[in-house]
Formats: sequence, structure tokens, C-alpha cells
Amino acid sequence: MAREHLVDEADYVIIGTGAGGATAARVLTEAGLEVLMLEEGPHLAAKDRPRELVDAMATSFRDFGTFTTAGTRPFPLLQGRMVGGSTAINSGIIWRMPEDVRLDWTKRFGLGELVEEKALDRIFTQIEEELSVSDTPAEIYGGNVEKMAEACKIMGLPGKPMRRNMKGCEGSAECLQGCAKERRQSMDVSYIPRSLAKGGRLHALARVDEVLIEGGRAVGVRGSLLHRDTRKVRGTFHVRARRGVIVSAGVIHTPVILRRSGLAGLVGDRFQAHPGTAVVGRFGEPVGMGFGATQGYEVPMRDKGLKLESLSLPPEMLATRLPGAGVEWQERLAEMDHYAQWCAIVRMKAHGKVRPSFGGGISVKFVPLQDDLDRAQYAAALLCKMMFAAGATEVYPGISGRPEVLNSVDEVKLIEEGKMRQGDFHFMASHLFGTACASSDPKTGAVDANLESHDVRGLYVMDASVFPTNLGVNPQHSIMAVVFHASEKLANAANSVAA
Amino acid sequence: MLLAFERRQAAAILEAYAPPRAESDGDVPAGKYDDDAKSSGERKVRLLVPRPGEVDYVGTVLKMMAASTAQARLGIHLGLAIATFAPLWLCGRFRTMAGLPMEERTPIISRLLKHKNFLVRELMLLLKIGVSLGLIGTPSVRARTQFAAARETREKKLRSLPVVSSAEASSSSATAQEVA
Repeated sequence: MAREHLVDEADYVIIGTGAGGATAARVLTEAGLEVLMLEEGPHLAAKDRPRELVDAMATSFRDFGTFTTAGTRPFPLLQGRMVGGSTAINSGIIWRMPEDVRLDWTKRFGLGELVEEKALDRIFTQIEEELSVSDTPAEIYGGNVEKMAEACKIMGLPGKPMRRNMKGCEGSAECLQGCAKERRQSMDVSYIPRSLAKGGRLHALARVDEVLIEGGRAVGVRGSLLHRDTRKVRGTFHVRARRGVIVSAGVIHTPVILRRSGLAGLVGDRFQAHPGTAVVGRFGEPVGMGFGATQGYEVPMRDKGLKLESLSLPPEMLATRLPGAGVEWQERLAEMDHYAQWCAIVRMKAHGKVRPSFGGGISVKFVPLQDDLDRAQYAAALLCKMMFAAGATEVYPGISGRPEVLNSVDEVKLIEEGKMRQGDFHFMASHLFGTACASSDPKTGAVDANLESHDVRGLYVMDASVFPTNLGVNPQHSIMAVVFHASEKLANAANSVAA
Repeated sequence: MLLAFERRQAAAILEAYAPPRAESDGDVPAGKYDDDAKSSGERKVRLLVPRPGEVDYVGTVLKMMAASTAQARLGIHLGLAIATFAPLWLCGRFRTMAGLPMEERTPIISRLLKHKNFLVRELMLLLKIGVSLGLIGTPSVRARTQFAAARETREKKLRSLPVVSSAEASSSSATAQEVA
């Protein structure tokens, strides 16, 4: 059968439709520029997204959530793979960039113009209005959040409801599978339709393999068209970019595309993350994790580089977290409405590297430092104490080599004692940073303060890859704000040239 | 994606995480949950027990493999191989898992899940993910977990809250009017 070949052209070609790519499209289309978005994953309306978890993960998670770090102690790096990117599978948690991070980027990386205080404040406010950002209302806390709030009150911890980009959330606890009622204002239901309404165009199931560079300038992209179900290649495409190419493929794939396009140097370096570890508690009475905000309550502990969060899971995933097999497991499974789960994300200091590997694969080398592990251990023990404070009868710390089940708060010392190794934790990370860092100095960054490559004109990176450090808070809002600001400058420059 | 031998072993291994029981054997009375005769002192313990053939574990794992990385697919093959021959290398018995009765398979799975070797226990956990997706992803089984009961109750409660128009709510501090 003849393979399809698509040829297209636009002012700007945007690779990826997550928080970065969709925001760039929203700003550039509203400035009257012609934008073409390319997305490797499918375009799924809320009604078409599968509700069964196994199908939902196969459809909208990259590699079913099985993509991991390299090495002998791998852990999963979760990313979305559909129109909307990871915003279509996350819990919509919104945090402005912390002031200490903004000052650090200004001082160490010369990014004062990009993260200028007044501009960022204006943009944060605008995005919050456009995406209906508000505190999680108490009516949809659900039992998981209520238990965490109770523990915070008893232990004097600074817990608070999360701010999220929700419009009339009903607490269906299905953010992961995609909100059936489109309450979460992820990019697929907000900035992408808005860009399309302004004349933007979108090709889904189109995987960019390479940015085309001629005479030191990005002039287009080429790639493969994928089959919706099998993800096998069904054709090819070639898109010419009249003004520039914007790479927003995420922290793992952006550096890989750039390296496959001939860029080298710092591209792929300084990979950072917020790996998380989770604790489950069993209660005598029903908790009802099946109702409420998927994530609705948090305890920021910025001084320790930690953030504790409530995290409701679909029952299939919760089942995996319950210890044992046979009768031991089945007895726990019979009371699946009696559990709460909370997690801790750790602002790790370790740096890693992302590189293309043979056979089209990708290698992510990342090894947490002992200090990172010590803080994860502290957080896990604290979560166990919180569970008991809230009334849990059994707590499952989820740490290998330590008791699978704790029966009293006195046993938490078994988690606190001794040093832990990476393989003891079941880490998982969805907050990823770096790999094409922004810096005004080409010796310390891959892109400049306008997010344009130091080496190739007309080539921009607009996602969390440009973050020279991790944040310690959820990154979506900061990604959108930084990209919004850079895109405004890009649009102004393009329109002034045209004028 | 799985050879015939692997499929046979996979069915025996995956099922052993949560052994099924026939409703007709008389030990499982109808009710909120499946009950079991296992007692702990005075307390009767409720178990979630699938019926024989109720859950398609192998089909779920195949779906999972089709969407996973090559590394994860290799992990599933390796995990199945480790479990298949566990009776031999773990217990010194010249049998595969499929050659053992259910009551002997489950304790082996439990030991593998707690094994001191990182690779062994992580691969058994990978298989447990597949089992959980299959087991709880089966609507009839999921209904017996009561996981969604809270949602139904709370949603009913939410629906019974008065709906107040935003104009009325913001116009004054006077008592808001119920409009629906």
C-alpha cells in the first residue's frame, strides 16, 4: 500500500501540544501569525477517551507509563502522549514560580528579562483567569483530602487546599483518565481549541524526527505519520517553517529531537526531577478515595525541598500498592474504600543526562544523591506518622527492605532508622526539568533569554527543558508563564519585522 | 507477543496472585463482598475473590505489553520466566508454576514479591500491576470492591446542595436564593 506523504507550511511550526507548545500557539495565533502544531499522540475528545484504566493508559500515556530511567535501579518517568500532552493526564495543580527560583535564574543564568517580576505577575494572573484557577472547594475534598487535612491539623503542619485549573470540578477523581466532563482546563480543552479558533492548525499522530537546518537557520521539520491504534508508521511529512521552529516536546524528547538534528554541546545535560514516593493508610471506616479531587490538598515544605500531596488513585493502581498476594492481598482488596494515599515529591539535587540511544531509543541517566534519598526517607516517615495521626489502623510505606505493614506509630522508627538506597524506594517522577537550559551565556545554556538556540537561528525551545533548575513546586504554571512571555516577545518581533 | 508455553504459564502465575473460587462450591455466599470461611479469631474475614474465568489476565498483560517500552516488554517476559521456574530455583521442586496446584503457587508468588533481589521483586511487582489492571478493571469484580460507593453517595449529596446563581451570590451579602 502506498504511504501517505504530507507537505505543509506555516510561519511557526510547534512540536508538541503540552503546556509549552499550546501556550506558544495561543499567543502566536492571537498575534495573527500562522501556526501549525504537530503532536505525536492522538487528538481525543473527552467523550472518546477510554474510561477503563488499561485502555486509558495505552491511549494517552507515553509507553503505558513504563518509560524509565536507565541503570540497575530504574524508576518510571510519566508523560502524556496525546493532544494536550501531560496536562491531559495530570491533576491540574497550579503554582506560581517561587521567588527564590526567579532570583536564582536572574543572578546565575542572566534570565532577568525572561522572568522579569512585573511581566510574570501579569502573565500568571492572565493565565489564572483564562484557565479558571481557584482553590479546591471543600465540597469536593473527598475522604482522601479530608484525612490529610485532619492529620495536618493534629500535627500542626502547614497544609492547605491546592489551587487547580478547574471549572466546576465535581470530584470524579478521574484526572488521570481525562475528565469526562472537561472540568480540568488542560491544554486540549483550553488553549488548543482557542488557537484553532484563531486560525491555528494541528496535525495529530505526527511524530517529528528531525528539525531541518539550512545555513545555520531552522527552516522546517520532517517526520512520520503514525497509525492511531498500532502507532506504526503509515507515512511521512515535511513542513516548512517560514519564521521558525518551536520545540516543545517535553524534557525527554526535546533534547533527543535537537541532538538528532545535529545540535550537541549542553543539549540533554542538567536533567532534573521531583521524584515522588507514596504511602497508603488503611482505616477502620470507609474513606472513599473514589470521590473527590484527584489531588486537592498539600503541605509545602520548601525549606526541606519537599512537598506532600494527597493523591487519589484509580482502584486498579491502588490495588497494586496494597501488600501481599493470595488471601493477604484479597482481604485488603475487599475493603478498597477504606484507604487513603498521600505522596511526597522531592526536589532532588542530582543532575542527569538524556541522550538518544541506538535503535531509536532514549537513555535517561539519573541517580539520586544520598541527600535526596535522606529527604525522601524523612518524607516517607512523616507521611506514615500523618496516616496514624488521622486514624489509620495499618500503614504501607512502600519501601523495600523495611516492614511492608506498620501497625502503630511506634513502628515508624523502622522507616526512620538507617540509610536507604535508591532501590529501596518505588520512585515515580512526572515533574521533569532541564536538558536544553536557558542562559544568557552559551557556556551554561543551550538557549538564550528569548528561548532561541545559541547555535541555530529561528530554533526555539519552549517547555520545561529550558528550566536551568527544578522548582520544588508543580511546574505547569511556570512553563506556561515563561513560554507566554517568550512568545509575546517573539510575536512582537515578527510583527514589527512584517510592519 | 507471548509464546504458547509462556501464555500457559502466565495464566497460572497471574491467577495465583488472587486465586479464584467457584461460587457453586458453597463457600462463597452472595453479599456485599465475597465471603470466605477463613477466620481470624472471632472475626470473619472478607475476601475479594474472582470467579474462575471471570478475569482475562493474559489479555490485559498483552494489552499492556503492546503499549509499553521494549524494556518493559522484556521485563514481563523475564518476570514470567523467573516465576515459571521458581518452584525449581526457589523451592527445589522439579515443576513449573503451571504444574503446581493453586494452593502451592500463591505462597511462591508471595515469596517472590518479598525477594531480596531487586530485579526479582520489581519484576513480580510489574506482573502485579498487570494482575491489578485485569482484576479490578473487570467491571463485575470492581463492583464488589465498593470503591465507587463513596462517589455515588457524595455525588448525590452534591446534587442536593442548593444551586445559587453567581449574580445573586455576588450582588449582596443577603441570604442567597435557591434557584434549583
